Amino acid sequence: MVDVVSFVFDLLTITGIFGILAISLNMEYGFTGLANFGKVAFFAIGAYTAGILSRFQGVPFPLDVVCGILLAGLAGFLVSIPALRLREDYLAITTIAFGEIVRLIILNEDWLTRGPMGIPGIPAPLRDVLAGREWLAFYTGLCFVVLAVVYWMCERVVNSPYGRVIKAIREDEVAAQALGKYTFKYKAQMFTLGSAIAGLAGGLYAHYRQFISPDMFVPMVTFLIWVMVILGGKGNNLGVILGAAVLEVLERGTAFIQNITTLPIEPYNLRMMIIGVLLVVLVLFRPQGLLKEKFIKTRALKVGEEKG
Amino acid sequence: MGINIAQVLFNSVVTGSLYVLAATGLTMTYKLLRFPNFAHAELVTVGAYAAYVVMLASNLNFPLALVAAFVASSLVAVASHLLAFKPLSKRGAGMIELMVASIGVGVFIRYVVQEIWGAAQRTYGIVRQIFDFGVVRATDVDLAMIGSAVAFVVILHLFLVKTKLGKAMRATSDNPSLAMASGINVDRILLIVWLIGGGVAGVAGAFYAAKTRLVPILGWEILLPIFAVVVLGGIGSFYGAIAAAYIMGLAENLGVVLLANLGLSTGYKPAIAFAILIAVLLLKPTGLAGLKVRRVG
Amino acid sequence: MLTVDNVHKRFGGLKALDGVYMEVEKGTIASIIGPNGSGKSTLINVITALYEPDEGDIRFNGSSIRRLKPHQVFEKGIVRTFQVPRIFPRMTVLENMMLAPRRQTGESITANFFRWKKVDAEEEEHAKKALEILKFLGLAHLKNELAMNLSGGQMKLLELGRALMADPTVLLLDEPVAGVNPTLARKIFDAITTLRREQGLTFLIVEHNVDLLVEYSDHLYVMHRGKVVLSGHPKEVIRSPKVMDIYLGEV
Repeated sequence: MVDVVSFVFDLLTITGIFGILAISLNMEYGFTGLANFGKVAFFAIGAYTAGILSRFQGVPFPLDVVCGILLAGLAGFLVSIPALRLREDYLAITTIAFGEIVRLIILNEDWLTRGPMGIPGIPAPLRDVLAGREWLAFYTGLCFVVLAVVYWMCERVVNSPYGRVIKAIREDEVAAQALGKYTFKYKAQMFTLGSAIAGLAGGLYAHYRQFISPDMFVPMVTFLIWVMVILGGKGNNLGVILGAAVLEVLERGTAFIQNITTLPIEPYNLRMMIIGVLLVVLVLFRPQGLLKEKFIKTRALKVGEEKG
Repeated sequence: MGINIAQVLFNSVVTGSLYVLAATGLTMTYKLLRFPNFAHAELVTVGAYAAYVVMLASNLNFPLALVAAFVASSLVAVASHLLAFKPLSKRGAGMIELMVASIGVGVFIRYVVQEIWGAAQRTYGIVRQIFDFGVVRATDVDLAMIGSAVAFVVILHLFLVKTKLGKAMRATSDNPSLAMASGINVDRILLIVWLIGGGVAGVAGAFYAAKTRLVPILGWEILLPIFAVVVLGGIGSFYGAIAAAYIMGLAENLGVVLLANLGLSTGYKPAIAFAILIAVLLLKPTGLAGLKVRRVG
Repeated sequence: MLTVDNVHKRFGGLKALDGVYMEVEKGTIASIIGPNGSGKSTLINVITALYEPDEGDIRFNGSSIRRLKPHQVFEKGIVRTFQVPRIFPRMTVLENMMLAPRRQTGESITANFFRWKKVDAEEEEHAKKALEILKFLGLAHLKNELAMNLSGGQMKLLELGRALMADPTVLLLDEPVAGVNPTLARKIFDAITTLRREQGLTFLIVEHNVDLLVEYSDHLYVMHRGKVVLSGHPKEVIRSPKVMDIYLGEV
């Protein structure tokens, strides 16, 4: 018998964490037009930094997560310097390769990461104070608070003159340069920010699952985040959170069906087939996703309204 | 411990041959349709599984299995073009959208394969014949791979240079709008490119599975090295890809030996291809083909 | 003020600019005509650093701007429009305009968290100016329309408006009134004259409409095959038989 309450909390927590990841990709791709296909690498850096520091060095939560954020952001910055001058498809391929290199390092440097065995026993914050479901409720709440903060912060960035510049870079980088914008700076900043936020998600994930291993950070994870962004609506932060929710429900839904009937198809495979088809169909028929991109809400928009 | 350089060289040629078969289709579709097709990995996988089916049914008739691999993969390739990539191109989809769609196509195919045959690994059940040439040991699969790659290169070269269709293909690859303006049926050329490129990738898959083992993720394992070959050779360059394939084969096989001697984990072998891929993209994205001497005037 | 000194530019086998000399005086309206392929747009691209010249120099107020990057050329006050409008398609007309003012406080990421009052004040000021310009160009009713939904002529006007928003010193306009109705075209050239008179702006305009150029511009350059072949007061240049040869004799 499935514990419904735990089920719901788990769904919400994972949705929260992946919502944060989806926003981080949205900032890079949805708003700035950067084709980052190595998102999972920064997720992994955040998770492993937090995991290693808390499990092996006794660094307390949330300090270890903060370290994860900083390290992931730094990695993003270092990658952005050479990579952002690349054409979009080259950037995509380079970032996938980078992601795989990170995974290989995690897999092979077992003195640091315990390699393929992963890191079990990552301490859960407040576990000694809260038991079972109470802890789940706490952690779900925590993730949602973080998600709300990340959402607020990113909306502030997007609905501003700065946000205007990054959209302009997405639309036509050359024209943006002709209007005096030093585009490389903005792209590097967005990539660094996106990477740092992904690192944050990684830290939260590590402390939730309390176990991390290299095969949790495969390219497929990046692709899933891409589906969330495209499905939910790129350029719309609320939309991509919705995309994350839909994908989580799809995962639970197919697993749930397995519990009540016997399908001719293995639910995991079915879910992935649906995702594959969904990607193609979305790109063909509804590339703007569920929620469309909105106007940039600065004071200028209001002035425009007033003048009629 | 000394390095058996002859064996390393031979292994490099074997790996290179695999890459020639696998990369040709990708480099051609990348140039013609202007996007990196991530579903190419699944063309390799489908070929491997088609070969498997025939191997079981025909009592280990490997040549027949190769034919099946070619046919199956070429059909899947053409289907993916007609159902997904062509309609998207016609709608003016950008590179990233096509790429994302190709990821979707690949994921779909991979999990259909996994659904039918399961995720556990299988083998073709061939008993390999080993030939001892003194310093070098070769299996029959190795020799067949080299033979197939050489045959393919020769045939495709003659096709491109001597036949009308082949010349049309080269013209389309160089300048699609000019080709269309001179009356070449570009749509037909595209179909043929998918057919040949996909089929040959399937053959590569069959060889790869015969040499290692059969799993649904098989195509993905060599996808990034194949991209490295494509990029190193120069996107769209058949001859560049040939050179790059053997260079990559050498880099990987020599690299593994070096890794071991340096005390690093040989698990980093894939990183060799990734490093080359990233280096080429950052330093000389036009690859080997871009090194051609500029025509004067 | 703006000097083009023996600029050469080649693309593969094609020589687009073959030793161009030009001297644009401050506060004048200079214009360039020439058949297609004579290098007019390429010249603008080289001046604004979209392309680097193979040889030669470009000087602004005496100092060389040849090695600058495009955004740095803009910083100097040199603003250009494109022959085929490069507006930002999935942004609104107003958003397009609001991108132009230089050194906006809000373009720094942290300023939006710590100095939002100043950012808001600047937004208000710029928005008012933007709406005025839009009204003048007849685009005010489209302020919240996505730029990609505009007609070709409207896009041209938007580009012009955006350039005006940028508080320029020199404006390089590439066919600013192509596809715009004649009344509005005149109105725009009247405004150009006013801006020149009241604010001392300098203009370098690529145009095909000879009537407008003869009436409004102070100096005319005729380009042909990458070179400036005629230069002088429009009324005189136009009478030269060479001009006819250039346009009609093109094989």
